[in-house]
Amino acid sequence: MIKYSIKILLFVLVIAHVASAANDDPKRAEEVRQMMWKDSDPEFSVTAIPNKWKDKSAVIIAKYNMLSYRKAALSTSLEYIRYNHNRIMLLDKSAIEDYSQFTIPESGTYGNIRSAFYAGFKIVKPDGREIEIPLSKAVKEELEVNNSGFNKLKLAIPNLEEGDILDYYFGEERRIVLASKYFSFDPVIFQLHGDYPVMKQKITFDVLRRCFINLKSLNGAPDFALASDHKNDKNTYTLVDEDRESIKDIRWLYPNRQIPSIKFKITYASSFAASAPTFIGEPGVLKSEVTKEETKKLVQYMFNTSSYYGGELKAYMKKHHKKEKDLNKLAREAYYAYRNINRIKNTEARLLYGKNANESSSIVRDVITLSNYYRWNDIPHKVIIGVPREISSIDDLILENELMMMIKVTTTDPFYVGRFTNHSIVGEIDESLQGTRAYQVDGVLPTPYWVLNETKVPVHNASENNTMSTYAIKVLDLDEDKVNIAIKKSVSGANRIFYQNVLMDIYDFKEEEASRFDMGEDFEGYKKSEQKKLLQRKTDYVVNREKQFNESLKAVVSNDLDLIIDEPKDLEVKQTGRFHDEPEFIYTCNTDASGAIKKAGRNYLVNIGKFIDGQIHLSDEERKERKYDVYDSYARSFEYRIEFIIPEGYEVQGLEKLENNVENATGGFTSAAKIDGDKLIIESKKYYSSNFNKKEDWPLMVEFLDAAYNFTQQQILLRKQ
Amino acid sequence: MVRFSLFLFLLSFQVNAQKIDDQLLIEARNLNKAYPDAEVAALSSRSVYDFFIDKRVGFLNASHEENIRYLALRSNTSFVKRNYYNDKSSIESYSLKSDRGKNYDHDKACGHFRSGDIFYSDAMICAYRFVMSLQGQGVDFESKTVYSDPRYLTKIFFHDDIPVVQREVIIKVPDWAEVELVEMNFDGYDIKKSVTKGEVTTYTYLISNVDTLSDDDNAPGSLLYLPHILLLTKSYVYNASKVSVLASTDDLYDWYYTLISQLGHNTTDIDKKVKELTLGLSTDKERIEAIYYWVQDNIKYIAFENGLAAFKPEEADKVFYNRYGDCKGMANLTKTMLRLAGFDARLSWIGTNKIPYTYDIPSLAVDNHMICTVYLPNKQYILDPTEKYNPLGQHAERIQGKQILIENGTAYEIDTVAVERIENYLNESRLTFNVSDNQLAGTGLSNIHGEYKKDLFNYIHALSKEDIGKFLQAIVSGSSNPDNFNIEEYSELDRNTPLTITYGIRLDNHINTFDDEMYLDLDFKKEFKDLKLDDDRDIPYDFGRKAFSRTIAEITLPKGYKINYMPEPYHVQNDYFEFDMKYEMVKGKIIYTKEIKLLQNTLPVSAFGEWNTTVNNINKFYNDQIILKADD
Repeated sequence: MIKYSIKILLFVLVIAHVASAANDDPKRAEEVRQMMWKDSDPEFSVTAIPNKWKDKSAVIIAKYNMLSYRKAALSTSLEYIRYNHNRIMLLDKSAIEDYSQFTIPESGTYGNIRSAFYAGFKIVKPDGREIEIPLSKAVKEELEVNNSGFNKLKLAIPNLEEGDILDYYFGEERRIVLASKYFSFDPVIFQLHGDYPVMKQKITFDVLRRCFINLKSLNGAPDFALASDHKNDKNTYTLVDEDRESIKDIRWLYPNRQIPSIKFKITYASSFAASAPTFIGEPGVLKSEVTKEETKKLVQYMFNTSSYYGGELKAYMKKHHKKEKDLNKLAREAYYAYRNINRIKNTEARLLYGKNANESSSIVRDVITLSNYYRWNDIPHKVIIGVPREISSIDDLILENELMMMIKVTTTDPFYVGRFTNHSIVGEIDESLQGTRAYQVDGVLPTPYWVLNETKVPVHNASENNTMSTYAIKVLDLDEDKVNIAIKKSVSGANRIFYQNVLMDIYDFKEEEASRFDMGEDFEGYKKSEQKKLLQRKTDYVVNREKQFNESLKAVVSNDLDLIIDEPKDLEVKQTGRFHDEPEFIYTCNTDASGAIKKAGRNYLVNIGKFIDGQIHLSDEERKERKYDVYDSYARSFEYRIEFIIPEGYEVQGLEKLENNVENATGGFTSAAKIDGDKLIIESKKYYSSNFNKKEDWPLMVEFLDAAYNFTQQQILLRKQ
Repeated sequence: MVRFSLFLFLLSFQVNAQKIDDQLLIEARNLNKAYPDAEVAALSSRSVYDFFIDKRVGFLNASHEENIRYLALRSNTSFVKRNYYNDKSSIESYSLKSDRGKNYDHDKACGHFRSGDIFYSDAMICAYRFVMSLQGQGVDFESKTVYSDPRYLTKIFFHDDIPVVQREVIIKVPDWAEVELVEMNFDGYDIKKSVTKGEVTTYTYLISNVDTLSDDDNAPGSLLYLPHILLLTKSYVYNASKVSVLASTDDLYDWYYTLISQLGHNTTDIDKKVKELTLGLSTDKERIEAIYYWVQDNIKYIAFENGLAAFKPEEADKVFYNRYGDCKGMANLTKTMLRLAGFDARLSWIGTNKIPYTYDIPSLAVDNHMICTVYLPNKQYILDPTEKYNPLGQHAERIQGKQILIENGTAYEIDTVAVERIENYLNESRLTFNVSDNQLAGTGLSNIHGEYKKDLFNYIHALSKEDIGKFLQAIVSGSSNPDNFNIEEYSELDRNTPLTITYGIRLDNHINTFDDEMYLDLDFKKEFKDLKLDDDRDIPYDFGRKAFSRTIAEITLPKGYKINYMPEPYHVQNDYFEFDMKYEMVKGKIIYTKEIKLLQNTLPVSAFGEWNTTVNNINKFYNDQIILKADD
């Protein structure tokens, strides 16, 4: 996932559409047809596939993505052309199913964009016959939204049989009327592996006149070669690649870090706009490196233009903490005060307006605001600038919106500020930056004096992201396979975020917040009429709140435990986990469940292993040698305490099967069981030591993952005495 | 399907600022208690149907005026009202107003209606989406739809996808029109009916507190259980002469026959294929099979329902060339090919088991499918080429027991499709186990017949080649992570023999040893153990098909062990299902036999109690274990 942490400009698409059909300019349609089918590269004439892929569903013989961007002289519009040409051999019914129907948008004008679509389809039969399917065979599917048309053409490919080659192209020629001096296309990532193997693929770019291209080949993808056409003021970049196997979903894979791919973004900027400190480089020249200096300039620019952020925080702190001299305390208090001012004060109204009350805000804005406040008060801190680890390393940074920021406060009791949400606390580092190399600057210095140094962001260890589950189990009916479970969960670090968002709302922590900050009453500050409506919404919300939370609770408990869960109830939030001195989110609830007890004559088997949460069950295929390193989101641990009340008149056998002690460098699974009075007590722990493991260490992970899964299958005997 | 999508829309809404009526707020709060899952209700929903002559063309038209008052039961809700139309009907007007009579902001999206696996249909929809920001807010919707051909106005329902407090249906029939109303599934619903006779006879139906349409899983076709009125517009008098609309089955067939009479006869390419397929085949059955199976295997189902195309088959030569078609196109191609091979083949209309009507009801709603009937001197075969991998002589679940209207020149015949014997559904597994290294290890052989076999081949051929092994593992193991099962062999498609799968089994957690006792669990599938039906379910449960599974597992006693305990057998039998499960000791082996029959594809609500008791009992049986004891 790409996090758009920096938005330089927002492009708003105004939709107003005049419709026509695809291929509607016959002359251009013929030119495109000629270009795709007559003037194409020799690989588009190939009819044979390698023997090694004959058992695949389909094989892509050739694939060509052609992109062109230009700003015509003296014109206020931008021309963007994209053609995608594919030649694919279909080898079974499932592939035919995938390629027997196409939907093509209709050419038309959408706001300030005029898009013309061109498409062509032909089948090459095994005997070499070529059958073209004209677009006139397509039917039009109409859609009109608020008087704007969004029609589509639907084409069913006739006469398609196993062994046929489908050769088709699809193109869009877009003319964008520029409303500003700067226009940025959405970033694109091409992965060179796909669902089907690829014999040959090519990607080309034409970049002309005042268009800028940021592009990087990643993870072993080939580089682009440049061919300059000085006469036409045109630079063409070409990537040629071949022989790529198909790839399937793999657990714990970050495709952007591991699969050969190309990421790029095209920008138009007038010479004036291009002088702003962005990453765009020279017009028409491919840019695939961003220097530390460029990164510094961009972040300086962002700080310089936001130097007024934090005024409200400053005023608040001045009013309430004027006498506080301890910078450690002041820095921490400012974080929570900012969280209150920026988020919590509006949370109740947001919730009642039906908006996502937990939505995250712009981390850039948050970092700048807090850094400004720290600088004004001489609180020593660093601003850390990095790239999310799921996107790339800082060395592969090429786009502005890949940047992410955080703060390290370097007072005598230092701490990180990495997350800005309703429930985040000081000391948290966003998992996207953990373990990455990043830049840091001294935040107290005025921006002209900044020097960017490299730093390594620490990784939270497994115990900092911990879930402690206590399940107290009472048998309700052995024959009916029914138990009652009293659940207590105490969750910290990144593990807690899901539970906080799902099982808690403002009414669980309003009082706690009000004990530290002035929360006002009954929507003070809103207009009288709005206040009345908010109170009415509140009445409605409160009446339905318990039902909603019970539904969420059922989803949570059913997700955690591999049992048939009745209706969980009595949800109680014991600790909100919203301040660093009490960082665990703690809740309790109660549920009946079945699916754990089997009868065996006079005795009963209890699938006691199911009372630790459901565990990953690796398939044989996954257990085999792993081809890719293991990227996990964060190190974490799960502790369980099971207290099973032994029904009267029975004794427990089989405890020895509940002992485990698998621990290695990648993580571990341990468990131990004992009888304590009328209770069977099991204590267990599973942990992932790191957010990354080399593929060579995968067998170590398999050891503890298998041990944990096997534990869930263990049964004890309740023997009638 | 590969799609190129251009835009994702984000519809934006203006929030309507509005004062809330106290009375409506009280009603909203009460309804919120009564229908805690609903966010919007209709306080009143009134439909008035009327008939009139379109004087410009002299044809009978019908109109439907709708008035609905929506009420927000919760704050921050939105609702989408959908109106349907097609080339025989149009939305003449609509409005959305606040409960104070002011125009109400909304988004409107109109276009082709996409439904199920239909590739293209001329069914159109207009969707009006509006936001109600406060509990107790009311919005009034009005619309008028006109049917230029009243044959297309077939059914009127009482239910909606929100609760309706007062539902009123008024049908005004002028004395110059003959319209019959057929009340379906009214039993169990308190629908009050009144009739006022005069120049216009007015039928009024009233029902209160109509619950939301059920979204339960495995619902059978809603026509089977929802109350509704069938409108049979038979004839009318215009300029003193009687004009027939659809007065009888004869009228329905006449129209169908007109449509199929227009089909062309360009068969050169088809003829070549027929000759190739039947070359060297000596019996009629072989020749019919060759053609029937070729259409099943080579014509892909892609449905176009455009205008008359919803009723008129595509030309056979087009379907033959395209290699795709809908049921009508495939039936017509089959018929054409069979005729070219010298058989008496005929198009046939049928309503699948989603439709409860018979051909004594003259309505376009009576059928939804086309197949082909072929006559031999002493035999008749019913062919449904959309049922891929179906053998000749067997009938798919969805058409069994249904009436079929068969073309016969200007006349027609009505017949009934035979119901398959439960034995034709047999899915038999024979398993042999032994105890080795504290594991149950063994081999399995499954022979799968009938509908299930047909469905499995549909899946197998929809999967990419690399995924078939994994799929079969999942089928024989009944598990989503079936690594303990190893597929050794499976038979390729042969319609006349069962699908045969042989496999190895290794069950890790089916043996537990405590002291000198060994606990064995021989069942790794435990069919239906989780299929307990909700107490508040009020619609029948559709199993999809009848079923008959038989599992026979045997295990040789491990050396040094004798039997200490075997679970009691369980047997239950009624009109809908049969379970027979037992353990026996035969010649030093434990034999586990499990037979399960679903005798009907749908379980009526009245049988839910017995079904749930049975699920409880089979769970007790499944959960009980064999206990072996080591010799002293």
